[in-house]
Amino acid sequence: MLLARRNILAIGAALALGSVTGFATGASAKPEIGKPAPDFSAVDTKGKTVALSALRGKTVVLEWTNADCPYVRKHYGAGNMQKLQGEAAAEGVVWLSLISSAPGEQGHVSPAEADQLTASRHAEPASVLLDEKGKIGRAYDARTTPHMFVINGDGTLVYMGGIDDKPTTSQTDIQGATNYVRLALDAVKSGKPVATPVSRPYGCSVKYSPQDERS
Amino acid sequence: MSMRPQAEDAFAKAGPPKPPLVQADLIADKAAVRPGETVTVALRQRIKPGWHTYWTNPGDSGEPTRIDWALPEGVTAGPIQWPTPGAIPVGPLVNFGYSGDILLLSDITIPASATGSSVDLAADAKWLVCEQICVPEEAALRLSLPLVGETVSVRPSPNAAAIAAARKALPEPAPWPASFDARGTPLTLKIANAAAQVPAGATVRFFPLEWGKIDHAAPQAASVSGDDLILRLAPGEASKAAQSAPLGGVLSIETRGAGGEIERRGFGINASPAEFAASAADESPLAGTGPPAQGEAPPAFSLALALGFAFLGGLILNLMPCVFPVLSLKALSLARDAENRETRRAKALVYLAGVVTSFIAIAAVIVAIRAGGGAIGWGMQFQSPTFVLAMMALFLAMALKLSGVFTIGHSIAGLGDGLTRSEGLAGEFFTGVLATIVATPCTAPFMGAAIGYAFVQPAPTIFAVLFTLGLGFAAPIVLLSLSPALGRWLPRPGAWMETFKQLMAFPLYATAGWLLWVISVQQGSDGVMAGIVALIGVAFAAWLYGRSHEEANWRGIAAALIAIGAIGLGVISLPEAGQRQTSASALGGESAGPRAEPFTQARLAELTGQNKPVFVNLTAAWCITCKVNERVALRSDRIAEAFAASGIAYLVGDWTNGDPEITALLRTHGRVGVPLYLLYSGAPGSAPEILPQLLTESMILNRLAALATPNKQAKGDL
Repeated sequence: MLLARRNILAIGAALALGSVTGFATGASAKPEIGKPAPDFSAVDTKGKTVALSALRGKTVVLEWTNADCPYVRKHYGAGNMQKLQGEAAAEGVVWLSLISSAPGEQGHVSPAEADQLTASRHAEPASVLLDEKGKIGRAYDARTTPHMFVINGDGTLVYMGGIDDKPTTSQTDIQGATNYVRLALDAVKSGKPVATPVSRPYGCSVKYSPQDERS
Repeated sequence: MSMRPQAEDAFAKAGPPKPPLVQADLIADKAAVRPGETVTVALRQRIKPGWHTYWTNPGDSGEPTRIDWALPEGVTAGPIQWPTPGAIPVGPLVNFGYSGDILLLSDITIPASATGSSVDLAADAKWLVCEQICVPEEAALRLSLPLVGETVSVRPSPNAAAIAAARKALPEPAPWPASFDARGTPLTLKIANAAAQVPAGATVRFFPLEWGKIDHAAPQAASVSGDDLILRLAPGEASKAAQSAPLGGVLSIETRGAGGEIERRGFGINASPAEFAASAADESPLAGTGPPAQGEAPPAFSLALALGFAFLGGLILNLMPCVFPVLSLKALSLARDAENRETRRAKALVYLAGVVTSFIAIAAVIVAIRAGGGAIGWGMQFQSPTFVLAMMALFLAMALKLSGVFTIGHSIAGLGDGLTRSEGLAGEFFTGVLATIVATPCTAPFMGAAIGYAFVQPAPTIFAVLFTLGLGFAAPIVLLSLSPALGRWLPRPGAWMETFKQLMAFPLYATAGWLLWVISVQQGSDGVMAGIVALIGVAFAAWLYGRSHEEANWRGIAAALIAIGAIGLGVISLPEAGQRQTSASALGGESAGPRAEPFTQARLAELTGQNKPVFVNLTAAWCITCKVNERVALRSDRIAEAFAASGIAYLVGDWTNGDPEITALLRTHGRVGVPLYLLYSGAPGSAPEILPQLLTESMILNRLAALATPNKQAKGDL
């Protein structure tokens, strides 16, 4: 019954939660290695809903990307990212590419443009998610393109950081670099702990809405 | 020298090559060199306005400039000597780097065995230059320096002065021992004896040399304990082991010159790990405009004092208009309660648990947000129009209930109010929760100081202060319940209570009305429309429910759906954040009182730079204390005349929708919420006086009179 005593109290409790989320405005709880990766659900460029929680049992890679960023171009230009995506797909890993550029910001694309980029670069992500409100980016504290995350079958975050240890825009640096994502995927596959679970993410900044400053 | 834009250049998709964004060359401080000498060579970057290049730690993204030297046999080059960087915010992220013209110095040593007529230096310089987008650029640079004998006189290089100036501007090794404690969150960096080095108007920031040690973008709370400068830094992503290795970085102290130009001094810091005892009692937040003033400026709080204030603040909170109607009815219901003592005691304790749990939950949220590096302020949830709208609907529903539009249950007519009637232990618990929720719009005197103190302290202190606040808040009801003696002080129950109950609806209507006004300030007329939709929906639902009392349940269900639908519709039709309006009323535009201009840090710096007296009022539409102060103390003709007579500039900062500059200013004065009133005397280098949170006209007039006697004032600021 409406506004029956219990219901008033339930509304009160809901408002308490409201105040809690109100408090959280502008702040982000950060993801932590060994903890459950923040869940999300988003519609991909094909209109399919992708929920992290529905991918339990599978290893998931999150790749923040922005096609015109020189660091992204380094890895796509050399075929390095596509190769890793292909290897991951062959192992049954779900690779999600995320674009968190806000509307009006550099790198913001429509679903069709995103698909065209995937096709023209011969990329092989399982899905491309457009996170134009930056919600998923915020939940993962994604800062750069590329910024990579690996989540194991239990939904636990096991790697976050750069794609490798050579923070440059030069394709010649890919040879000889230590690819942390590949190492993390190998470790997950063989059931071993990831040797380097955190590294410095490098690249261009994620183009979140500038109004959305963390003050 | 040749410049070649790279293939990956985001711009170089088509058309002729564009000019580089950074004009680079090599310059030396000597026109010629002798064998065995050291010459300083600078990579000069002339960066296109609006663009920036990066420091050795580029921050959240980007890449530092690199120089690969190709040098003649025996000639060696030292590392880049990085100038003190600036922080460049990029949305929620921050980069560390440079804009304008900069010199990156390297020392080149010529061997004593050098022969030939010249020393030819070649450098492959690579950098990333960013504005919105980033462009990698590189340049192959050459510099040929004549090699001369010991006896030949060398004329000075035309660039010697520029390089000397750049060298002077490098971070100097700090003469102060630094240590840090990485055990807690935030981690604490203590720079001994540095407090005196922070001049008036300075902004302090620590730039870590390495990634992962601290959260780059998180606010850094600076405070002073004795002679020590203390910074609280959110930890970075690196492992705990890496966190506890020595922490290197640059302490930047930025001041604004009279013309508004930024002067930056840097100090190289190498802090060793340490374990600090609990916060020193004399620690006080560092005012952004100078070291803490003495006298009435931020009180050096002890934990005991903060707890005392918190208890007192919680107690007074019971009397605030948002809470009083609900809790006064609860108190009265106790008077007629015929239950036995055990039941009353159990209920009182459960109510106490409800209140305290709510406050602890708030503390947990605060700690969690702070651990995430977020900024936080009391009342900040009111920056969300959705929250304001939902609160408004709740207040209206409670008011309608007290007015008798609908009743809940079948108890004796009206006396037992659904919110306050004691019925079941779970109900008592949620009454406590609800009381806390309705209390959130109000800030009682003493609360601001206690909470402001707590928010910059370690987590246990935050919990202690909010726990005590909850105890104080719950105390009146609990004591009335527990003590029959006190209970006898309550007026005898009677028919007058029904009248009183109906009367108490009006403070609640007023609160709902005030919240609608808050929405109007935040969202303009469209927001008001959304609010009215929600209000009418709630009123209709209440009426429908009231009619349905003894009848079929469908009306009750329909009423619930209508109420939820109306609130939902209201929320959906709230304008987008981008369309938010700024408030003219917050500036006092339509009322009497001193002429106000909007607060910006730049304007404040300009005025204090000119040694003009300034009164700063940081306010928000949802801050009832602020509005009361403005009504009773600030908007009078006498104040306006006094301001005009003493030539005081009146700056009003409206925090209704949040504002990073205002948050920063609050923080530097140890506050996390509005109101905050600052009076800058205009004496050079003096810190502002913090006025109390409750203002009176005579108090302000007295302070202004004190300003008129500059000798006394100057003395007080020493």
